[in-house]
Amino acid sequence: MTPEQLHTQLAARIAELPGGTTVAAAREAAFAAFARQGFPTRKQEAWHYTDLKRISDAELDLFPTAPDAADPAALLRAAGVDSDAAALVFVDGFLVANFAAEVLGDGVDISSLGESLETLGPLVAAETLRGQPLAALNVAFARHGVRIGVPAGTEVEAPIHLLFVSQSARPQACQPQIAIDVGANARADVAIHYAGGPSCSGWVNALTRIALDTGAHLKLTRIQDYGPAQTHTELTDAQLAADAALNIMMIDVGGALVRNDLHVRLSEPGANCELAGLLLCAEGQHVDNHVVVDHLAAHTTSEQRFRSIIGAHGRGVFSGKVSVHKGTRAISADQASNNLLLAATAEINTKPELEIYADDVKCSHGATVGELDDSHLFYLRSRGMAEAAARGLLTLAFAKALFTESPWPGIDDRIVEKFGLALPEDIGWSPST
Amino acid sequence: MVELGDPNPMLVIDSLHVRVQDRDILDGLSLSVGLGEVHAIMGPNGSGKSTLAQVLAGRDGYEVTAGRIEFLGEDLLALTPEERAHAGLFLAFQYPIEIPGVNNAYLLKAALNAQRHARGEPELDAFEFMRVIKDNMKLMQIHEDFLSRSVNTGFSGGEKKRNEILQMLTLEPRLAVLDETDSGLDVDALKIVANGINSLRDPQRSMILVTHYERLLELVKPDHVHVLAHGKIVRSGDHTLARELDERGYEWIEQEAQSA
Amino acid sequence: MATDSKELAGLVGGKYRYGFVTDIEEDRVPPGLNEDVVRLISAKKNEPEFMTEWRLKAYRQWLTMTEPTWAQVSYEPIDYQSICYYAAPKNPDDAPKSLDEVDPKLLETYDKLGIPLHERARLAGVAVDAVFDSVSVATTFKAKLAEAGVIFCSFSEAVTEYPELVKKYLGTVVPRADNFFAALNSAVFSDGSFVYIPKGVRCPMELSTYFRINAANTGQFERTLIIADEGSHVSYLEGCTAPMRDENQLHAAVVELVALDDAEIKYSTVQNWYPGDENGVGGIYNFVTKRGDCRGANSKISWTQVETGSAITWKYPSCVLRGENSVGEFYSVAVANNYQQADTGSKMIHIGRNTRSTIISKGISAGHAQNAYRGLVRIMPTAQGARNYTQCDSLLLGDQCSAHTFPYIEARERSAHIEHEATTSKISEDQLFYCRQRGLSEEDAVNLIVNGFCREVFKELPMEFAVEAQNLLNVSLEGAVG
Repeated sequence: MTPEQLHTQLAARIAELPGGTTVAAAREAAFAAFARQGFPTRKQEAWHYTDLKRISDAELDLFPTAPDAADPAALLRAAGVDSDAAALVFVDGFLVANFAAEVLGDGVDISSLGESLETLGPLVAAETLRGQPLAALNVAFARHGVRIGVPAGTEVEAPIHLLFVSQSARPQACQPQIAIDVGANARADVAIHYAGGPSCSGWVNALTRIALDTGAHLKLTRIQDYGPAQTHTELTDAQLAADAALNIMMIDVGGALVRNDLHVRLSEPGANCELAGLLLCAEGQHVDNHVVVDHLAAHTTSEQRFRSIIGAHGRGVFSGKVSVHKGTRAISADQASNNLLLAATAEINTKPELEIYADDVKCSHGATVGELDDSHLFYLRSRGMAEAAARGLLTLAFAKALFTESPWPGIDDRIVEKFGLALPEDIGWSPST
Repeated sequence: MVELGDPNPMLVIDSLHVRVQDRDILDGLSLSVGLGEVHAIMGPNGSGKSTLAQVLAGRDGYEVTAGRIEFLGEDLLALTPEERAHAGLFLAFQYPIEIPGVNNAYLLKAALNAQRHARGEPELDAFEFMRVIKDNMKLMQIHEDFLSRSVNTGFSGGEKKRNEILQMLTLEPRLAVLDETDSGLDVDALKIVANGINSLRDPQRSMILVTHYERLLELVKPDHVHVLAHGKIVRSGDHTLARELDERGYEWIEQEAQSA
Repeated sequence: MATDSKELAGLVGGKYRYGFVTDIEEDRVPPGLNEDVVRLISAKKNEPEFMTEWRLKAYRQWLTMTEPTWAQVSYEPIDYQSICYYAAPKNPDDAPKSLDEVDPKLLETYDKLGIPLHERARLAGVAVDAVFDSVSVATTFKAKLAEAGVIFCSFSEAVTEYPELVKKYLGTVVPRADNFFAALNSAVFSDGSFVYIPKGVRCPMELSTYFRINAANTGQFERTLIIADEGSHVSYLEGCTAPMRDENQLHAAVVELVALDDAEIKYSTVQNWYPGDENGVGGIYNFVTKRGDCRGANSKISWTQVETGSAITWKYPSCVLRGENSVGEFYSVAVANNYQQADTGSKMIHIGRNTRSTIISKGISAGHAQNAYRGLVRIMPTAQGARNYTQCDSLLLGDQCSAHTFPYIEARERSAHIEHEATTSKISEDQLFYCRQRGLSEEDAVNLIVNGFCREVFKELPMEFAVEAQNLLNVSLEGAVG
């Protein structure tokens, strides 16, 4: 798809897209930003390990058709979301069910993207799109999605679930947009699920824009559990005001080609973020986590903990950058990339970077790559556990070292299934002990 | 207690107020230490004992808002940390600092020669230095391989404290301030440390022992014992006060001080 | 050390110590580069046909290449046509055969550098090859080395005397067109050192080269090739200085090391090219390609570098670990003060089974300097049981400087084991206070702590270099604190 072809599609349908003239102008500006940069190529440092040709060379319909039928309850069940949860269900981009309002009441604003664009205008600032051509493309075509607005001082305890399901086997591109605004000293818990069937081979190009006001807290769990043919790219862009706290857990299970960009800006003193990710990949999958944390103010702290488990013919990428800007002080940043290779044909590329322009800093990073520790295996076997079971247990333990509480009920099963692990339950060992 | 104008003062602290990170820690502390005297400063946690030690040595971040300190007739607060060291003030740190890659012998020789240089004394060469340090190491029961190890890096708590006393023995200060040197030591290590301290007692040298417990004072008998609470000295006495504190704790003194 | 650094400070007044210019007759070609200049360089050196062809091929490849921009450094574009590509201190037709024939002024230069050629060589048992601008002027201790069968000579001499060895190994580690600067070097390199250690020989002394850029508007493009045949062992040192000049000068060297079965090469560098003044005017652009090939089983190549000079440093001494059980090591201290920019690190390419590598990098930034570590650890699918340990620590002195860490880790083999650790922090207030409480001045305390920070690297240097490195470090950081 050349920028010209894409623009033809946009121009033909732009009148149908939600939002007034300001939004339309923002769409054109965003498209121009995309066209200037084009699709990323491996020549660019940020895309050194990931080739997007399967998208840039493909012919995709940027305007997916509405699903014929959908069973939201069944989809939620399949995604491991409780039936009484505050949930919104999107199928091929289209909002098919909204159970959130009845659970949450009026305290929280949950509006479809269309409504929000009409009432609030563009939700994503142009500066967010700098160096992010795919996010710019999302803004140009944005049609479906949701805005969550938590007013100042409001604490929303129940997690808000957003489920995006790819159902159609047509060659199409969905570009959901999510905006989360948490007001001063408010608190929210959001879980975003991406899922899809085995025959879905389209492209989802998501954009999640987060703004946390002074003292706001957001816990975001983001689970990607597609079938094996899906392509997924996303930008999660978060801006934190003073003393705001952001806690993100990203889990990647499926997909053929997945690229997650996570950009956090700690803009005011006292802001802090804890970012964690678990990347599972095997069998021709390519999953790339690309994280940038900008420390723009004094007394900001960040932590990155990313783990990957790579099976046969899987290729994982982690690139994490901590950037401490000039004029800041009392910065603390810690970054860890731990990678477990399960097969001879597994591949991991990891690049934990520090870029520091201030002196009052304490920054560190660590990376490890390897297979399971022989001494740990031996220890378990000496206690009578079969080798396969010991491997299963240790592999699961490697993943679970990221969690204090399980982020998703399906996680253990997914890990076990994905890598064909044996578990020692049959001899009375439980992975939770 | 010795008053200002004592004919032979080593150290005079007059109504010292100190603020740390917007909190007032010392609130009008006065103390006078005469030549050859050993003073113990005791008190509950958080009473300001360590702050006093840090301020004497000139640590950044401790703001003196009022009061003054005279050391051997000089205005101590006007001096940099190294000038205080050159003048003969030594602080045995509560938590001795690790310096990876720098060996103990190197630091000690550099420190000794910097001090001798500042005093106009000839610097010691490697052989003379070894002669000085050998006896001190024996006294502190420190093995020779210790000299080539990095400063305090990978040391046990006891080793660190013995290293502080070794440095003190070698630098031969006029005034030694020992900040909780007894904490974290087992009985044998405590004896070694006490031996080291006692060997340095001298009519021309004074000491301030900052401690929470009485057990070091059994081995190093102080001439005066002071109790610090809420940023000032609330009671002074002889070494029997230390035993009383050990038996009765600090609460009664704090209560007395508050009702007074 | 307190006294050491003071004495040095007195000696140099905090300024670059090696910044004199030697007034000497020069033979130089006019600035600019084309095929004729390449042919002229080759002709001046009486090179055989194969060498001339090799250079021309490199030149043609260079024309098609562009200057790399990925490093964390910035500088005004270099005008490659304004550089003089050949300047020799004497007519090369009657190049010195022994020290006695060397221009006494040159020897004086080395005295000023603190390297009295013959004395130092004899006392220290070091054989020295000194490269002045572009030409190797003297190689000491040739006879003694010849007894052991060791060849240690200038590169020009090797091309004419040992063409078969040169033909066999030249460009096999760093190909002609490996990168922009390596291609340029391949076209115009003027001289350098050549070392061959025969089978089973342990080189009886440390080998050493001193490089000096003297002439103005001159690029220096030396090329070093070291071959350690089976079971041999050699330790090689190199030092570099240049005069103080307001314009920037280009230094684009290539070093190739080949270690065959069971051979070991230890390569140490103290790089002290002129760094420019405190406002960032002048200084050497140091764009260097250094690579070692552990071609044989159980071979070992160890790089140790202390980088205190140059306005810009762009170098990544690397090891290709081809042979089974081969070992690569990289120990580096890189200091950048004032407006210096350093982008340096290492690449370890694991190809053979059970290959092991270690990277220890210590970066120190002060003033307005930029200091980046850039490293690559790549484990190929054939490298079962490969191991890497990387530690890179950065120390910041002052809030106008910067420190960056860019490690690339690529693993394509399950049994690989890679550990990478990095820290960045300012100098510890606690450590400074502790030293000052013991009586050290702030500056001495900083020197002591910084030297401690670098200890793991310094201990890899030969004794006499370690002292020099430590002193250089103190001088380089003068004025950085306070």
